[in-house]
Amino acid sequence: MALQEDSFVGDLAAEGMLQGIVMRATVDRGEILSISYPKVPREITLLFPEEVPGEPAVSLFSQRLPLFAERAVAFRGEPIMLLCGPDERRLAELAEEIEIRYRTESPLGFAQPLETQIAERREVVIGAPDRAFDDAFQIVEGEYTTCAQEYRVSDPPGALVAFEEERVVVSCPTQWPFHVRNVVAAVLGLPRKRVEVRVTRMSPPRDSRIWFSSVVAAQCALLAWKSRRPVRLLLGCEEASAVQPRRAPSRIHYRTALDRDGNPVAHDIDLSVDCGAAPMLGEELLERALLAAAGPYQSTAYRLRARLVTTSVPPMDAFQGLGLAQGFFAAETHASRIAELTQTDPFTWKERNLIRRNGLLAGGAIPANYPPTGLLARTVELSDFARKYAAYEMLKKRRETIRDQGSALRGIGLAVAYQGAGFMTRSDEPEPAAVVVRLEANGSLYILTSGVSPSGEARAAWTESAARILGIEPKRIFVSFPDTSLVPNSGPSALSRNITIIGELVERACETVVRKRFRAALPIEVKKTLKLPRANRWNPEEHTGLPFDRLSWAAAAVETEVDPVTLETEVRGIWTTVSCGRVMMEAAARRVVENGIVHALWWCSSSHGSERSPALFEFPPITIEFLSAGQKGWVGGIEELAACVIPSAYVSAVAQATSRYFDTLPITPELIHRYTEEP
Amino acid sequence: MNVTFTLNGKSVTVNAEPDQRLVQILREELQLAGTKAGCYRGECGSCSVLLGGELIPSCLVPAFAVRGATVVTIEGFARTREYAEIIHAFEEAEYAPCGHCLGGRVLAIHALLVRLPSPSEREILAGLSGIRCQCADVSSLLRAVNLVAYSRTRKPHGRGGGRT
Repeated sequence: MALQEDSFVGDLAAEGMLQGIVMRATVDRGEILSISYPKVPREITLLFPEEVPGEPAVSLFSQRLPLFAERAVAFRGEPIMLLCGPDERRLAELAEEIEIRYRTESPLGFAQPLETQIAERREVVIGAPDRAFDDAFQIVEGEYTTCAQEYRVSDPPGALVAFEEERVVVSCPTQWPFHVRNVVAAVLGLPRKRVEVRVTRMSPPRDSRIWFSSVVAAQCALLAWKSRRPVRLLLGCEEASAVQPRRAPSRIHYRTALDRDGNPVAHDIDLSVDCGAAPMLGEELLERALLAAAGPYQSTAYRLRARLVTTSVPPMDAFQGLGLAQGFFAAETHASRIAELTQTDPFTWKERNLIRRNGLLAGGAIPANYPPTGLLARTVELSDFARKYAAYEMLKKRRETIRDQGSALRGIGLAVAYQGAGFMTRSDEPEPAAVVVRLEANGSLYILTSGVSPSGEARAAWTESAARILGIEPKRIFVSFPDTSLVPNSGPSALSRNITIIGELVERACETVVRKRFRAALPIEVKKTLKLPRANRWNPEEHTGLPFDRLSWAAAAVETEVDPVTLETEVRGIWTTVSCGRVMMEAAARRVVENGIVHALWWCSSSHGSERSPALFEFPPITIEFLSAGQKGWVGGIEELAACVIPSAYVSAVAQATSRYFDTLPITPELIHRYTEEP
Repeated sequence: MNVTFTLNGKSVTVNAEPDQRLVQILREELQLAGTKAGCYRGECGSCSVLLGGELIPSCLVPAFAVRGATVVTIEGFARTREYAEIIHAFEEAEYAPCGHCLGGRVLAIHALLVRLPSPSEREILAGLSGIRCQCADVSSLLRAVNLVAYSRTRKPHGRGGGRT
């Protein structure tokens, strides 16, 4: 089998390999009445759901996604059966001849969900919100919606499954190799030790390959099992675009009671998240969205209601900023609206109300650390926010319609947000994350982890940490290839875990090696396992405790210009200040934040289903500054910050530029036209 | 149908279906995996090759259109000094594309600099917009292209280099 650890799955091949394809549902929702197909040539293998030898589903925490639509179709693109054969063209021809008859039903939508669509609910009351609303000086309402965001990189999802001795060897791009192993073993009804997963090269997955790779790998493994040949299953571009998980759409309604000074005293928040046909990662999504929706500001009373809505679209995955991005978009856009209604500039309002030491997030959650002094002020200074905001406000008040002014329309927005690392509902992880470090007699150090580092930056950070702690040259440090037969399970390389959790385990292991170095004989092997804090565990029912071990904070200003004729929005500049504890490899960290900003802008301006993806020349000048926390201490996650902080700043900027109040993503020229033409 | 063309400086003949695309010929018939298959719509740029010196998405080129043409893939371009220069600039600028778009990106930078030896920032971004993969940051890309442009204008190829 031609296998190279630096190959993409599409470049891999095995002797006698067959190609696989998936027959998918062509209706949004319905029932399969019949499947008819012509005589199947001997070289082609068909696999039907009832032939699955093991568990016909992908499980993740407490959720379960059926691998096939056995009778009922839950979403367009749901797998119905599998085919494999040596000739892709012949396979495609046969697939054309397979006729599937359906009885169609109305698709389940997100706008007005039925009771049966609610997969999960939360209702939390903190303090006395009713009394606060009765005594309120002013009440501000708003509803904020976000769209799905599609993951677009050019390498297609896929898997190659082959057999080596008694083992099933799966090669695929994934952020969680042990999840793929567990799923494939369960689907084939095999012990886990008989399945080996080797991670192939992939484009940065942005947390959209946490569990979807397991689905593709399981399908591919079933075809290999039935045909008794190696099989490669590659999803086509359009197929991947249709069925790959996306960022979950959200709708968040606020009623906020303000005191005489315009400060919030109570929030009534009603949140709905569209999790697609199955609530994979749903509990986590809901928890994070709700926490973020309560905002980073001080308030005494809350009524929080949240529901996870199942709909007739493919299930959603994490995507960078899982839940937090949707929650902070609403919280920060709402905060900017309150500032405007109370005739306060956004900086003054946000600075005044930002959570301070001894304050509680969402009334009960304990922040691991508070926003550093000067986070917002430095962003304001870098972007010249105060002057620009005042100037654009003056221009806004002077014009009656956006066509009044011959020149372009400008605005600037400001937002602040935080991110944690890892899962909030982390106690549900099937086994604790682990890392092994081994110092050999020849002085070389091996780091064994299933952590996946597609861009190589996490790998470089682990090496740098080990080199610093042990005083070993980086070239003598080797990070293992993520192969489940060689390394311990370090959990998913998602939600900034690579640096915060795996990175910390590497550091702790290296520190133990230092302590043992002159007392024990070489080789020295140390295994470190993630220990969850015993005290202050997060309580989702009461919203108390510590939701994340630590928080990274960011503030951002976004300046936009709207063309008065075409209504297209150009971003003139982005300034962001980040506080994430100790900054490892600053140039790399800067690249991570910049890339996050680009993807956040994409979410702001292009809707799913549109063919448009942003071109390079649309990218604005970006200034990133890290607030120094010295060379020691904890390292925080940064990958999700841009998705949390940029969208609301962008929307506020467009709102100021157009004199219209925007409360939704994406903002397209068509939307601006509709908002500006409506009275 | 037999198609003969010049690939990376050598004449090759392949037996291809008329509707087979150049990217499939390169990857499946000739095992040149450096040209990546992406969208098959000419959008992503991962399959870019130089066809008669022009940067073209090979997924849009049918087999019959390659007859007699000169095609350079990343494997062929990797043997040139220009390639080494671009990769060196990537390292200098700490620019790390994902690998799926790498070949297309390198060829796009080369094609751009042949056309515009000293491009402005906007020209760089517009010129490289055909590669849509968003795996890496734009600032490092700009730095890398500027480094290549600078080194090429300082050391004209074929003249032994050096400041004059």
